[in-house]
Amino acid sequence: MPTTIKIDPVTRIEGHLAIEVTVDTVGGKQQVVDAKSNGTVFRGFEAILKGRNPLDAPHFTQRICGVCPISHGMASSLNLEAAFGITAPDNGRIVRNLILGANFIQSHVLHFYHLNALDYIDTTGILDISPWGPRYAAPDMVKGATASTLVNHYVKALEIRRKAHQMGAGIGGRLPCSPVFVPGGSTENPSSQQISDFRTLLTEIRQFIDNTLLPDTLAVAGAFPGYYNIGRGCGNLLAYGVFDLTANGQTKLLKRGRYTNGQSLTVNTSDIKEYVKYSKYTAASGNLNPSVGVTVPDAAKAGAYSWVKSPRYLNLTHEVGPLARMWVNGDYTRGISVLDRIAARAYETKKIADAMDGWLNLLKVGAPVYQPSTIPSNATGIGLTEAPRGALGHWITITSSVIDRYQVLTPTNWNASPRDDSGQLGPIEQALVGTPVANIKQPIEVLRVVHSFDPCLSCAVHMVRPGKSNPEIVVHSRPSI
Amino acid sequence: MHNDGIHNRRPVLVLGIGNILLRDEGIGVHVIKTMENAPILGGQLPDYVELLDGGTAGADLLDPISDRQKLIVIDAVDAEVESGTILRLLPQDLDTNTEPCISMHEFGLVETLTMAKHLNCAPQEVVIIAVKPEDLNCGLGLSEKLERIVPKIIECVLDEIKNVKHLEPSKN
Repeated sequence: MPTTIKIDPVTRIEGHLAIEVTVDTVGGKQQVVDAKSNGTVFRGFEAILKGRNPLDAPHFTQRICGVCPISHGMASSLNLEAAFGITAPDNGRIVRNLILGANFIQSHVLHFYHLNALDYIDTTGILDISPWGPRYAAPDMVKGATASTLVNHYVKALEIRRKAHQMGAGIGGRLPCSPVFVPGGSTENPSSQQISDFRTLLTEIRQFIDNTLLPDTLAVAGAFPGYYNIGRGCGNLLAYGVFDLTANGQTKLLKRGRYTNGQSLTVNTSDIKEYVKYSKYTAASGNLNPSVGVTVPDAAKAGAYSWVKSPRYLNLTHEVGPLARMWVNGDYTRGISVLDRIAARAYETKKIADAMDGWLNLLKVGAPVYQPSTIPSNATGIGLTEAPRGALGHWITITSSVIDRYQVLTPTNWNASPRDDSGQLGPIEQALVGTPVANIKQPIEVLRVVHSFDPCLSCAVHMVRPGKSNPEIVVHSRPSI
Repeated sequence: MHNDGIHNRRPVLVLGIGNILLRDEGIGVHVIKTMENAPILGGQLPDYVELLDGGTAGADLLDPISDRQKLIVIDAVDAEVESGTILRLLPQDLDTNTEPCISMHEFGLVETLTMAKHLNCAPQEVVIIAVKPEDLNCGLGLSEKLERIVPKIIECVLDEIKNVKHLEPSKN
């Protein structure tokens, strides 16, 4: 008898990702036979921007997500620059790259130690990791000295994460939601002191990456070699590329491209369409390129099980993320699996941090960071970049100098997408099917596959919530009705 | 507002969190914006107090909250009370995670405070001024009901600021 397991943090937050898998025994092996990835967030944010000044886009889109606001700042700035027909001066481009780089580092470091590593090591008796428990227990968890080392590094990683934040905030004005990202460049012109402070923090972070993050990643991989053969998924990879090294964006640290059916190919965004057969939007919201995207909810739609649309490239499912970027760039091509995603993320952290040191040398104190412009009365734009967890695109149509249409296609939109109109499963869904599950009451294997993608939905509602233990609540004042 | 840098940290942080794209969910941010733009406490905020719009951030708040004598958080609350009710909560009153995390989004205030504890840099005192929302639909601006009580919320925050007795130099 197949059993359905649902992993759903519904008790915690709204606007989250829930994973439902059906487990059955096939060929004598208990495994996932079907998977459904269900995102519960409605893309109504885009509607808010209609009729507003295009310059509002970087401010509002950075509010969509609590994890990658900086990537939205970058995407919206590039989007408006394309629409306005301008490019950022070198200094402005570099400042934005440095802030985004700091964000990639902190995200990747925290993801490995907080979500990935804890799937593989038994922390019992080493560190009280509450309130992040209880975790699934599994007999294959690493114990002993390796576990102790990783747990100690977990605490160190929190400190490094804090330093990466300070590094970005030092030139980002403030984080989260940096005001520095504007079409035309950056509002911050770093002083030699700011550059020097940045380098001091970066040097310590790079040492941590070389001496701790990379060895720990290899230690986990070495203890779980089977995961090089689990969670392959669709096998197609897509990257918009990120960290422009020239004003026109033709050269990037991590280039644009895709790997489809075993071939390395170029990306043309007009080949992207979003499907909605299994998404809670009207049929008229489907089969459209994001440049003409429509998002009309239909919560009661028959057969629909997700609020996420299904983006496909030439009708094929593609995975996005660090592995896609590193693969397309030729930096990592060992394979596609749970461990390859984790390894590519770690190697990418090093690649970016090392490059950032060189970018600091290219900053010219006092040189322009901003190219002024005027808002055109009618224009369209596309802003393509990468968030730590994958390809991020913004599309704009400006009519009579205000926003007529704004569409945001996030990385988790690709990875956590539901089935498309032809029934093809989304990347995470495909990666889950075939995953062995030893104990359906402790489906740790499912979490390992899902975590390898570092999924992240829009952080819609994130309220505090009193516990169920009837805390003593002091009512301070009541509104007069 | 500019980051105060790592060497010049003010002892009290007033942190407004929430999503301004979901109307009342952004109450914390709206209160901070009002405090930044209105003369309060006879014209000026004391120089030991910093205001921060934390947006929808989770783990990103680790550094801003660290090494403070007092942290005053303003946030929306999901509680069985009438909308517009203002609650004064302590960290131990908040619900904690009992499910496995799927994504990085599952970092809330409680998780971030725990991270700060592991690093021995947690704020010495934490108070949450929590407000029950009326309208969580996509949209900008507060509901009329919450708009009306913003001054009352600020009063609660100022009471907390006045309660800070012995100001100590921060660890930085």
